[in-house]
Amino acid sequence: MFPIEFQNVSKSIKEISILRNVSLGFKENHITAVIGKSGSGKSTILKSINGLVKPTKGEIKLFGKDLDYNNLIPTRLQIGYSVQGTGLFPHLNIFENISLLAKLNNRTKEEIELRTKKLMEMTDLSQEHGLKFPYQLSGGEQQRAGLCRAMMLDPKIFILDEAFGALDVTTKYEIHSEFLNIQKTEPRTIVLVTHDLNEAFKLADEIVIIEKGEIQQKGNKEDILNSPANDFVKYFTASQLI
Amino acid sequence: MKNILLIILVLFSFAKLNSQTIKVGAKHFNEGYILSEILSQLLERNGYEVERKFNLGGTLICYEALINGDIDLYPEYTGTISEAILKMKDKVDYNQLKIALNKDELDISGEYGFNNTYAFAVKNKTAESLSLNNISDLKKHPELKIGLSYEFLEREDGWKNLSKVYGLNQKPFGLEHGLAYKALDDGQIMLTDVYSTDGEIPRYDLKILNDDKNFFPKYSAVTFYKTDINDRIKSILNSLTGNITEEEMQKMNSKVLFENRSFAEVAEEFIKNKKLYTGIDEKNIPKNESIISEILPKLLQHLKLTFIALLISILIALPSGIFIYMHPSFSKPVLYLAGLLQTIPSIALLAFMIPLFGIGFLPAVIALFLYGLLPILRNTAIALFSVDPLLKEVAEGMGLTRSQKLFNIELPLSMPTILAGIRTAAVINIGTATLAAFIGAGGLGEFIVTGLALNNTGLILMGAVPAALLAIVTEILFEVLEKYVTPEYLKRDKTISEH
Repeated sequence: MFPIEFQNVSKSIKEISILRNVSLGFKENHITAVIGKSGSGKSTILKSINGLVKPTKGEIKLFGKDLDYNNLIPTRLQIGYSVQGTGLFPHLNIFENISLLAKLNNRTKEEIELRTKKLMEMTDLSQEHGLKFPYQLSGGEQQRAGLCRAMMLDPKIFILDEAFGALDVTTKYEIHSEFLNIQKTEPRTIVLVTHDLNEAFKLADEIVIIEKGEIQQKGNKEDILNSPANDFVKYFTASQLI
Repeated sequence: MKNILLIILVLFSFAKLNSQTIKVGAKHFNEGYILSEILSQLLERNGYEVERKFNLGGTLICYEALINGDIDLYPEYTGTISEAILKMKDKVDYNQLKIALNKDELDISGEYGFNNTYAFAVKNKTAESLSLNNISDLKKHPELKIGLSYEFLEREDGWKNLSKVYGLNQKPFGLEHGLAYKALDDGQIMLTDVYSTDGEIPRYDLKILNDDKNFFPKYSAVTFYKTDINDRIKSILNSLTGNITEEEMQKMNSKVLFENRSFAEVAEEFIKNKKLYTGIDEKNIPKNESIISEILPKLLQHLKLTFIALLISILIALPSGIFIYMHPSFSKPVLYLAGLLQTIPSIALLAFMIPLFGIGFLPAVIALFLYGLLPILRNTAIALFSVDPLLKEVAEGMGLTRSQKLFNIELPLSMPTILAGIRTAAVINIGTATLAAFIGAGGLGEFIVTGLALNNTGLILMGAVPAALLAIVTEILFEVLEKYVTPEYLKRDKTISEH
């Protein structure tokens, strides 16, 4: 059983097809990268997982159960969510950003402090950073804080939407390593959306290539490189890896 | 034993009767204040508590206040009652008027004796040299230079018909009424229209020409009250009947306007000279106060009006703003409605309140509260609508409930804009509250309203300057408050985050 499973999922908005009949399973405690050009439908796949987008047709099952659109909050609390530009709340300092969800869900002060400290250590953020506001942090630091916030409640699933997109190459490299370290210490089912094939190869165990709302190929790095499923995959990988 | 009990009961009820509070209103002009003060002092000298509800504005407001029981009585003019209030087309005499009023359970006292109507005034010197006594004497002097107020030139009971009735051929020109006395004094004009009890008449040594063809309607001063007022009060009020002549009224007006005497002093002097009250008990006659002690209570009243109205505005507009954000289909109708309220001129809105809520504090607070709604409502809704959509989506995707998202993310991010709306409402309210004096709500506007009625710039400034200062202080306070609630990231240059 896959922790996340798409069964014949289609989504259209005003008769424009965004996803066409997508059937897909994401393996437990693996990192899956969904990759495609902008407008390919990759973000829609991600937002379908935490119910921000409701499919027009088909089913999405989490841990074998259909998503309950009338009661999404408990599901969302089990899904860490991180987006490009981090989505940190500008009026809250880093501590407050990281601990917001835990506080709102009545975790004890000790619990929150312990977890925050652990997460910040893992992502190489100091206690001084905690008292700063997002605007006072560099892009990389903000991204780390965003990861901490998403993992605060130790979710079983973690979804990232172009989370490393806005970073410079060096910073990106550092955070990639930290990200993989975290996955080693606290393994979880991760879906990350990216347009960067190099990032996908570096981080993901499995790669899903999507174009015009349809899955083109699913497999590991070798599958994609050695036996592309079609011409699109071939040209896409070729153009990205130059 | 039974008799003693009865006597005690009668005495008791008599004492109670005398300790009853009588609310005396006044029309907001010089003469109105003086007459109301005379009535108030007469009642006080007879043992009644009097609440002076002066500054009530014009006829409409005083009349509504009387009907609603916000005041018990006020001085009015017979012509005004028949034409403006009862809307009677034909001229009626005193008795006919009384009968008509009684049908509506209203009543008037006996006539004070003077008639405050339009009249023609000339300098006494001119009158002597041209032997002018009656208006019809003007016919013999076609060369006479006549300057008339624009209103008098246009009115039905003005020049057009008067010249026909008297057969006058002079060609009068129009001028501002305020300038007419000066022009008359300087000899630029020789005759003008005046109100027959104007204080300027004795001051400029003028003569009123006799209306020998009874052209002008009669505006006899009387006390206006409801029929259910008790007989003892009626008899006190009737002690004025036939006791004030036009000359006496002119002199009293003149004393206030030109000799810097207070209404209370002039009223007291009148009562003494006329021996209207012979008892020993002299109480409650207002004395001159220092400027600060005069301004302070009105300033506090002004603050109270503004603050309570603002508080209610916030309590209603803030949740409404949130509501229309959550239910956007309501946003247009609600904002239109609030916008509509804003377009009603403040003085009209205050007047609308009288039939609904009477006069005084309550209707003023309600009117001010209505004015405060739009800025707060609009800013709240706009601020919430314009919170960064990415942040809204992240909050939702993270698993925040609707209300957690609202209270932890959307409202804090909207606070600076909402506060700016509250600030606008507060400043609008401070300004508009000065008009609340017209419906007897007090505050700094009382100085302005009285000052306007008396053409007394000093008095107007006593209200206007503190009101302006209050607005400035409010602006400063809000600036400080805004600095306090504005999150750090908005105060700094955002490009810092790009380092």
